[in-house]
Amino acid sequence: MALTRREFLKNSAASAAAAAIGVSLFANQSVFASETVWHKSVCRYCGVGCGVMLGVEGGKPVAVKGDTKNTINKGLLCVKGFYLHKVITGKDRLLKPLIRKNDKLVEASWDEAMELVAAKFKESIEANGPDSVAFYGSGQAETEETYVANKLFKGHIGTNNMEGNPRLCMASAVGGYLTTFGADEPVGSYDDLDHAEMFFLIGSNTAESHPVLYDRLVARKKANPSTKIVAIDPRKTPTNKIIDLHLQVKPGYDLAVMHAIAKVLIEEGYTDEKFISDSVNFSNGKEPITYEEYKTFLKKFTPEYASEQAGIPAEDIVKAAKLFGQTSRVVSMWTMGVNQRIAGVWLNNLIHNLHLLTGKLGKPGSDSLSLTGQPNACGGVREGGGLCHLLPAHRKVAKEAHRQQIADIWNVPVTNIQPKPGKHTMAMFDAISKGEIKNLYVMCTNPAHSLPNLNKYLQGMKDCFMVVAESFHPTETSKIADVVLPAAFWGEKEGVYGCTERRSQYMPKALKPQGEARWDADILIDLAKRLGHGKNFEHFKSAEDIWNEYLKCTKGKDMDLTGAPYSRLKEVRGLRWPVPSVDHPGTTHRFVEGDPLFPKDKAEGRRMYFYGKPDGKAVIFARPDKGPAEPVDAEYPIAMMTGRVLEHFHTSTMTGQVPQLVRAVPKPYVEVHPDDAKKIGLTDRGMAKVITRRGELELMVKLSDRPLPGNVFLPWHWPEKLSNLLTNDVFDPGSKEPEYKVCACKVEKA
Amino acid sequence: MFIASMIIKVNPEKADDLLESLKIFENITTYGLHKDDNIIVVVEAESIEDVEKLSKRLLTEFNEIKGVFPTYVTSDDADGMK
Repeated sequence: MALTRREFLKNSAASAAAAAIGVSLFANQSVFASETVWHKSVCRYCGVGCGVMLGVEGGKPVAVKGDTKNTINKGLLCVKGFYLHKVITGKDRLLKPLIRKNDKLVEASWDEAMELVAAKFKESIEANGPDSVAFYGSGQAETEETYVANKLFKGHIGTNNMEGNPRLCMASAVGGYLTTFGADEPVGSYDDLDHAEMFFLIGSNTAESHPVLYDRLVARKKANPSTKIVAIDPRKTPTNKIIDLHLQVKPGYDLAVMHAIAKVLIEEGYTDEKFISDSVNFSNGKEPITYEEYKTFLKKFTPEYASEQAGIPAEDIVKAAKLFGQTSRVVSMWTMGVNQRIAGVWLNNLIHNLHLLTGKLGKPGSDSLSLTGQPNACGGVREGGGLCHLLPAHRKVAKEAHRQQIADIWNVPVTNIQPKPGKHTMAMFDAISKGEIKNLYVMCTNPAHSLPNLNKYLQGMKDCFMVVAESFHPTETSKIADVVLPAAFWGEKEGVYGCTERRSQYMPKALKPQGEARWDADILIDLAKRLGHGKNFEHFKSAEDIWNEYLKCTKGKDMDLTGAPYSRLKEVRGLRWPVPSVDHPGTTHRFVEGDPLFPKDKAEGRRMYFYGKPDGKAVIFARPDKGPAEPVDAEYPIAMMTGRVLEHFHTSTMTGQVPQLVRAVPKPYVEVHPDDAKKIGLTDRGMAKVITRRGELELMVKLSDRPLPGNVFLPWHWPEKLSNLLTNDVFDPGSKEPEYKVCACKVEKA
Repeated sequence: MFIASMIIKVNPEKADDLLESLKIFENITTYGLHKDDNIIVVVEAESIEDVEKLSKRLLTEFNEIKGVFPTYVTSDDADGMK
């Protein structure tokens, strides 16, 4: 029987849903033949790495569906991914280059725009030296794009003033992994989610920020109903629908809780003493200490003390500790609630401590897994070396051998690469404000919206010569730029994204770029040529050429991707490094047998050998229980938290293109507990003024019991009310990641 | 007209009741309960915004719904996808 087009589409849609859960609704699948060409890709939003199929007909995006063959999301999407195709043709797509003339941005040819950029960069480099220019990139750029920028700025221009926005979201996780395990990025993988018996969520609203992983938690609970979920979060979130125990701590006071849990684990006999003896050292952060000294350090951290610090019942802390101890397989997951703190690295360490004490690491169902906020923060910036102290493939500029290895691949004298790290993000924008950095190239990110304490940095960005390569205009940053270059968007360029679990995935070019938009790597190569560095870039004829050069950097490193050429990545749903040869399947767990880098000879029978450490032992840290930089006081008595909502992503540059998402959560607001609202005289949907030491905002009030009394919550997505005018730019001394998550404020009726 | 499929993850004990409740919605076609806690639905709506609104409404109104996961969206008018 012939189907109408409507019936055909309905059946196709139902069939896609059925495939996502592994069932078949229709016996005769041949009825679904159509003209749509489906391209296997990766979602453009968060760091989960969901497989997305982009449907193209006649050169236009006509449909999206989850990739059922991708083991990360198995066909499921979240609402943002669902609308991804609409972003491609969004109303704010920038179609032509813009340059500033008479204080207005006007259209220009590519040649005119690029000549201007090259001339200004040349002028500044010649007059003031290479450190007078800087690059600020993104965890949303492809690895190939970041690689080209790295090669140009560090290897040819000769400045390490190269940063990326992962500094603002993942740097503390990097610091935690490096200090504890001696190597960045997770030990395990998403496979552990399907075997865990307990999930420990710390500072993670998984349901809204990583919805597809949230579904995997739901699925695990269904498969194993005794699975427990414990959350430490200062706010109730939609994730509460599935959790068993919520430790609703005061914002910024959770370090003592982690120590108290460790203390209970030891005292109740839940530790794995053999594992500790084999694979763990102890440190107070300055020098090695003994296990006994660590126990002495913990004496202060009774559940009662932690209860007093964090404002939660002591018995809940004991309950959480016992669940952790009694359960054989535990996965901890965290995100910005941990990382965007002045003690972000320390808190990362304390999470790892629990896994090291109990040996719940490096085996199926157990991991200490940092969730990533951007699709290629891990791949492009952490692995690609897109920060001021790094070089590609987990190398450091400070190490001579590393500089030499990369200089050889880049075909430049080693002296081109400076041995001293450049300025980290906050220092970079501070230097811009002071006029020390005169030219800034921004790629695929929006710092005039996303930096904390914006009032301090906006004028500097306006005063310097700023180039913004971006798919959309206006953004808060492009509005104040001197040159805005239209960049190709997702689906219009090929490249690789590397997600949370060390998995690199290929994305095809399925569409022609809108207007005159160009691929970011192509723009950078153009700039390299105009700056006189073309020789070492002209062999990059395609994304694959760049990837192949990058693979040379990874050979023999802990993140070896040699076995992941395009030819293979196009066929599979990503590969998890280390993957040292094309016949290697990739690695689910590091530092154990099965990891191709596991040194059996050195391990001498130990189950885990942390080869990033000289003696193969990870470190349990005795870190002080540092609170927030700006605690509440009589003048500013309320703790202000910031975060996300499901429908929007970061500065809403992309989700702002989708009217449906904009209308779903259309306006900025402040969540206020009804008890506080009553005291202040606020009403639901009325207006309030939120004031910090750095600025003030008038916002619509949303009464909610999600925050505790004494706390308010601001989502940070909307340009018309920049929550970052209020946030604190103080940063973790190790990771240099700012404390976005908590500061002191007062709230008044507006 | 927009056509979207979604998997609604539900509390298995309430799944049959919920499946019946969903049949009341005019613009939802249900495709059964699968593997205990997955209800497949296809939504037809004049605008994609209505699809989104419905998804949010389901999440907020039905406590037994743990999550709503889109899997496919298209339009019977190809231009509607631009």
